[in-house]
Amino acid sequence: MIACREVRRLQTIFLELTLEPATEAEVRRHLAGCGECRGALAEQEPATALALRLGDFEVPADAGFVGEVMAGVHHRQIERRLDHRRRGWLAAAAGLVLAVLGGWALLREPSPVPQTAVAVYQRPVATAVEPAFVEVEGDGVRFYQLDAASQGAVRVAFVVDPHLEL
Amino acid sequence: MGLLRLLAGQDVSTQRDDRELAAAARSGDESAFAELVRRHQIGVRRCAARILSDNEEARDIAQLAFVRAWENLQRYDPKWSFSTWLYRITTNLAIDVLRSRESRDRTHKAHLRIVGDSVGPEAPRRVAEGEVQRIFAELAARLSPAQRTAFVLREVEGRETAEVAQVMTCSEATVRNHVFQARAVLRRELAARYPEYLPRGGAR
Repeated sequence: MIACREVRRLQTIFLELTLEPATEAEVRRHLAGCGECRGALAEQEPATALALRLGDFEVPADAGFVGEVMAGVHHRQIERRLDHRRRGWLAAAAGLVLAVLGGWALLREPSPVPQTAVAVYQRPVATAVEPAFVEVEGDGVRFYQLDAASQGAVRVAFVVDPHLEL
Repeated sequence: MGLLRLLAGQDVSTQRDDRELAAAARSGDESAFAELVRRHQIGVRRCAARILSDNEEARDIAQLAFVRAWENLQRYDPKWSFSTWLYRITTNLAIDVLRSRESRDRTHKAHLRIVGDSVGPEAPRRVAEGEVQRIFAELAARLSPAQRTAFVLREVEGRETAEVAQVMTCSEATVRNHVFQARAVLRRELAARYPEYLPRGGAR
């Protein structure tokens, strides 16, 4: 076993975390059993001394642990299997729904109206057309029609000149 | 082959190393996996307990780590030590727990029994077990999850820096940096909260 003097000599390198793993293991073993060296280490680095004290303690034995882990493993296996089956059923159900929808679409009578939506712009049209009037005055003929939108207040006239050669 | 060994009175599990057991478990051999759990359960529980400062939570995390390991055996690369891979899963789960804790106060749960031992200036040698755990739990709450994990694996567990780097998926320099930062925080907190536990010279 490594001597106290050697441990004190290596203490700084030990704290720098640069000791060779085998040497460090020896120093640790020594520190675990030597209160004086541990006290000297605490002078230089109390946090590491605290860590060494924690390293002394083991967790309590737990007889049921392995069984519980394996039960957890079995549980996950069952879940996975069910999940796998569930996925199969879901895939089958989705396929069935698609087949039904496809068949229905094929058997349905074609619609006269295109299925796609079309935006149509319609210009406003006059709701009523006023009757045309013809007036004859001498050689001239006046042809006119009242504007429906202005409730008859505006008259649109077309004068036909009989001397005009068409 | 296994049956022949069993009939010959040989314990099959002790004949196989972790990698062989992991390979068998990957093929669906549950008894091989159960043997891996038996071999590593103490270390995994202890590591989780030290990171979390909560034995019950650590037990749950350790169980979850083994179940995750079973589920992901296909991803295990035998060039790594099985325990390193297992510790990586465990520490990742523990770090997730640390991050998700609503309050740092939860780290001081009731399981950390205070043993009423009188303490003096040379306290580090005489402090009772429960007291050391309680103090560490309280002080470690000031550490970041990475600092805490590095400190527990490197300083408390005494694992090699290279292995801690593999577990934490970072460089060895980063591990050392985390440990040095953790020490500084713990020194400061120890001096502020428990100066009676420091050696006569006090913290640097």
